[in-house]
Amino acid sequence: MKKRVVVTGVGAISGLGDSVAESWTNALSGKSGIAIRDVTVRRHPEYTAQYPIGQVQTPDIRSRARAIGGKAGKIVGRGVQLSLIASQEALLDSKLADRPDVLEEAAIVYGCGCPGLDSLEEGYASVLLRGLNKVNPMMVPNVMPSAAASALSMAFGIKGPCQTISTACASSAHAILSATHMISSGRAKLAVAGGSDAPLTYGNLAAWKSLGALSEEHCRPFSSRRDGTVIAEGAATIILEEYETARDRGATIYAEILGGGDTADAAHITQPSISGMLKVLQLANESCAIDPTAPALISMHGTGTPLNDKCEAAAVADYYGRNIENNTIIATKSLHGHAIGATAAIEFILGILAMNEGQAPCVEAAANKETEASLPFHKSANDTFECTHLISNSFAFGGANVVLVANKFAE
Amino acid sequence: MTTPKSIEQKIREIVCEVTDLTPDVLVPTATFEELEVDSLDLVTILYDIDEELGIDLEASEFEHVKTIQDFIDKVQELAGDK
Repeated sequence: MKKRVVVTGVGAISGLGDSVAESWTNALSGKSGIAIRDVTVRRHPEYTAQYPIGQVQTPDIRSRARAIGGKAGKIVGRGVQLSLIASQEALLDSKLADRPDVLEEAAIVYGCGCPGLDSLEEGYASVLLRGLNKVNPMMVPNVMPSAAASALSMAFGIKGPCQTISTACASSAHAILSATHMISSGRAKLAVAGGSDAPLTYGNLAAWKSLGALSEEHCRPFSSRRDGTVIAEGAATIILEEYETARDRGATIYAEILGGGDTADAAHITQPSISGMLKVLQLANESCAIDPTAPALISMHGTGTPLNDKCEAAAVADYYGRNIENNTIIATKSLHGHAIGATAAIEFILGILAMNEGQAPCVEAAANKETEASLPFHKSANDTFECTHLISNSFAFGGANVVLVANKFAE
Repeated sequence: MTTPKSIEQKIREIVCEVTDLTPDVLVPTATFEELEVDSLDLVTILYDIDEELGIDLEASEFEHVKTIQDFIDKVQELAGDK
């Protein structure tokens, strides 16, 4: 018999906020973490460019990570450092941080889309710009996609399954779904799931610009004025637990994860597919036995690129049909940017809070009356809404799609 | 001018930075084993010494080094040779 899976702790750090609480406060007040900032090759200020980015503004990330992580904190990558901070918050929130006996048996499933870019760029600068014949040896562990998951294992004494999933923008959604399956199948009672990425390097942003995917100034999901996405850094972690274990220890339960859908488009390495998005929406809802007429809070992938938002709007409209107006739609990348491997987990946490509170950050385009599609976008953070469940979309480059489904928790 | 004393001070700072050890535990007779300074720490320390002091060092040159003082002496010896 499948075990029920619940969320008992959350943690997040991004340009939107230093914690879940700060992120939520800023989200509801519409205080975006996106700003136009300098991005520089470390030690080479001659390589500086300006981009709109979502950057963590807390100055002491490295020392905080080292204080949390012990030997794990010596892993120099910023993405790893962010994962330690978010995960500590989640474990403290779940009241499991001081339970080494429980953590020893736990699983980690963590997402990462573009690991160690900071170390990689620094290494190339050493060799190509400064003519050195050596590179920081810590670059080796830091560019492993599994660096964050391993750091979490080391920092928190977690000795169960330790997996990393790398599916670009869907990485942390896949991680959450995979961890859910691990618990529902009885393979683990507790899982630390989420994702982190620190992609704000000179080279990476130049590449995204060359791709033509970046906005000149801001991320405007579903806006008629949208012109691209904004790259961001961040980390978000959720603690997933088997329901009976959580109940017996008196844990605070945020939500129940019912499951979701994951599919591949088999179409294009960067372009989305409406039929692919529709298929995964159907799979997610049907596999979780969701009544399509029940009011959902739908958290869109909403990157702010012309193509994603057009396709996603069409797919969502197609799936819900005449029931579409029963739902409330949000799209939060205008607040935190696109944090690649972390973004799905950040959005899932914001979606859970919104589902529970019946309040959500507005879709900026709807507030400004400039949405392109006719969908029930949430117009104001002051408006309340009803919903029974959360649908959280992630549609990645390469056509890897995940839709997560969570319910308001009920005994 | 970089004096032996200032090089020693810098080496100590780098060792503390890489290992999270505090300066007070870096007594001359403390061994790397006692301080739990492992091989990954060592190559990172050597890289940082190169970056900060411009002294190119190879890990193989430190195979017989046991204590903090041995390490400092070896770095200064090799710095003098280069």
